[in-house]
Amino acid sequence: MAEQIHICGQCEEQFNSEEGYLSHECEATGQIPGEPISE
Amino acid sequence: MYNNQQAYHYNGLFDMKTVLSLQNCLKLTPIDRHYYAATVEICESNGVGETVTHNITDSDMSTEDSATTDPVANSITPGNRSMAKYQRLHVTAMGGSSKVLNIQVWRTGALGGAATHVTNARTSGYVQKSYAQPVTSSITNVDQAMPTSDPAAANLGISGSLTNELLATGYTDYLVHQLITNGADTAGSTSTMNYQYDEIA
Repeated sequence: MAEQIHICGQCEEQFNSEEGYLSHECEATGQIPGEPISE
Repeated sequence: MYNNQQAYHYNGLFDMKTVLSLQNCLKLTPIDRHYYAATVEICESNGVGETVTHNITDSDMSTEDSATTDPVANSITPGNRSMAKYQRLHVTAMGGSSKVLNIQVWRTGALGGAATHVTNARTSGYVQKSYAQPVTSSITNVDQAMPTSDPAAANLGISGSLTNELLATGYTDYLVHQLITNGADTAGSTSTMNYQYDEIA
């Protein structure tokens, strides 16, 4: 099974796993997608 | 109940663009978001092996299989179909919520010319669509006219059922949708996609 590619639509950073995407701190939004928004 | 809206800018010849502003559309105060709201984004899948673009900010309808397609360079020949879109709601964090359910999707605003907008979303006879590389031809079960007002009942499933619930982070089923243009159409339009769901604390 081919490895899925995950791209952040905000900062365009690319990841080889969903976990990588969810844990990154987006340079465009300043948020970590996998964490609740807590402004 | 939350109601997210995406503005579809339908510029030039069959160019449909989505602008996403979940935070604004949620209309929650910071403290509400901190304690109560799940984090929900819209993702688009493309390609053979499924490249997932998360938290998309626009959604142009063109002939190209890409989340960032240029709809001018890849405009749809009148009379043809657009490349199908495979998109999902993705709960990336539950916040203080215990479940997300009752997914409802519809479009507001007219399409250009005599174009039609078809989808797999429906309130009865729902069939889950698996991911397949998007095509510009017709797709089985993607034949329901996109609702143009709140369908008042779930029309997009979770794990194949309209009554299922997301109890943890995860995805809804794929919303597959496609434009069918008319040979006499000469211009695109701008419209809005609406995504509504219930969230239980």
